[in-house]
Amino acid sequence: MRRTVLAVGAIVIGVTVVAAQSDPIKQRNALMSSMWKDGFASPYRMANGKEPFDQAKAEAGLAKMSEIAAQLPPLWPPNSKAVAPLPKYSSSSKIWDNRPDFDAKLAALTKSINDNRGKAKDVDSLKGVVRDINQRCDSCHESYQVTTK
Amino acid sequence: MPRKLLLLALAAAVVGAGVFWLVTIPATVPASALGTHTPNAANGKEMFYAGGCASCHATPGQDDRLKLGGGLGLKSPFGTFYVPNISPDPNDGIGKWSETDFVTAMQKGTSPDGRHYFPAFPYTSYQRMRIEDVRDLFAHIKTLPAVQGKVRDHDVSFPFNVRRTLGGWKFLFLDGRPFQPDPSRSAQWNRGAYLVNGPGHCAECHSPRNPLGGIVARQRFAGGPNPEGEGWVPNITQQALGDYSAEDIALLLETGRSPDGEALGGAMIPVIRNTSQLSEESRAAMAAYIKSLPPVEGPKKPEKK
Repeated sequence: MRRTVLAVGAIVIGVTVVAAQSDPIKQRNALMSSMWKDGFASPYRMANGKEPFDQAKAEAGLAKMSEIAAQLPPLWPPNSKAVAPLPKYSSSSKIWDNRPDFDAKLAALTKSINDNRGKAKDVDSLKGVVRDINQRCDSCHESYQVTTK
Repeated sequence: MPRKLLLLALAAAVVGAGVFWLVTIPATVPASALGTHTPNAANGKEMFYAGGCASCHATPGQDDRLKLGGGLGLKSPFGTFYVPNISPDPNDGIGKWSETDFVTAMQKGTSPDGRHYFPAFPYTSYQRMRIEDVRDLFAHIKTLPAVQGKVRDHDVSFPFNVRRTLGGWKFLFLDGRPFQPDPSRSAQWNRGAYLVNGPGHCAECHSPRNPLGGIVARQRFAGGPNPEGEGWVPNITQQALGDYSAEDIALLLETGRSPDGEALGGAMIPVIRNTSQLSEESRAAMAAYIKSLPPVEGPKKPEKK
């Protein structure tokens, strides 16, 4: 009886550890999708004339981005290199070779989002905000986002 | 008997070496091929962005993309190539080059001192450019800042570092043909076909390669492993882009985002830095051409890491 309990306990712990390992990957992929869909999409489209300018809606988008950015830093722990089956975009293994650079770029994104909140009063100022934040997205993606399909 | 065989073998080797030598002579463009030409500055600038020169040749680690001091390391299955200085610096760049030198480099992949360039420099695409466009590009580069500093040699292992062997590679993969417009297609389509296959050199990344490093022609544009090592370069034929309109593709070339607003993979960012600087017409033309690419099945992606 005791051996069975120990065995089951070990299996449960093992499964939990494995689940926790794949969790940061799923989480960060989901958050990056949401970063666009629920965060950046509206301000971006407004800045490009694809949606009418709405200051409250734009600010809500930036607020959502800020909320997501705050959750990102712990999602690239040491043992979370992208595993098969790979989604369309995945994290480059270079992240773990250049950790300080990656962390700095993530921090720069958060800073850019927070600094730009409240700055967009009209389409022109929104364009500047969007350009600024987009540069932070690009600067990290350029080195660390990999296309896998 | 064995002595005769030896002599025969020796003769064959000499003839073989002779043929190799002839086939691999670095080709040049004679100065006489260049008539009089007044450089068009606006066109030169457009060619600079269509050709994407800055993405490889701009000095890394700084933001001024007009400083073409070179130095970037490009990893490949054959070793690491260090991109040269092509700023107009007279000593460390191309400041002393003649127009003929530049045209020869771009279209024959041969240096002014008569050596083959490695095809990491995509002259297989640039060879499709019109000589006038190449000359305009040269004029534009001459207006950019001179950057000092010679770049180190490539880190390529034997036998790939024997430049003469590139003559064999060129014999196989450099056809020397200019761009041929298709009279059954619109002017816009032909402009797009020229920009994509010539200066744009899109196929150089978006096609699979054979073991010798040449593009697999029947799968041109159908994607393949990232030549720089990590990840995959997508299929851009209608097999994969069926849901994209030409307008979607033009917008993508301007913003670097898919129709859904997804940021494209990191490797496209340097491309968009260039294509975003082109005229709307150029992007629309390229998009019209890419939209017309018949569906081609690309190579199998590795499912497991």
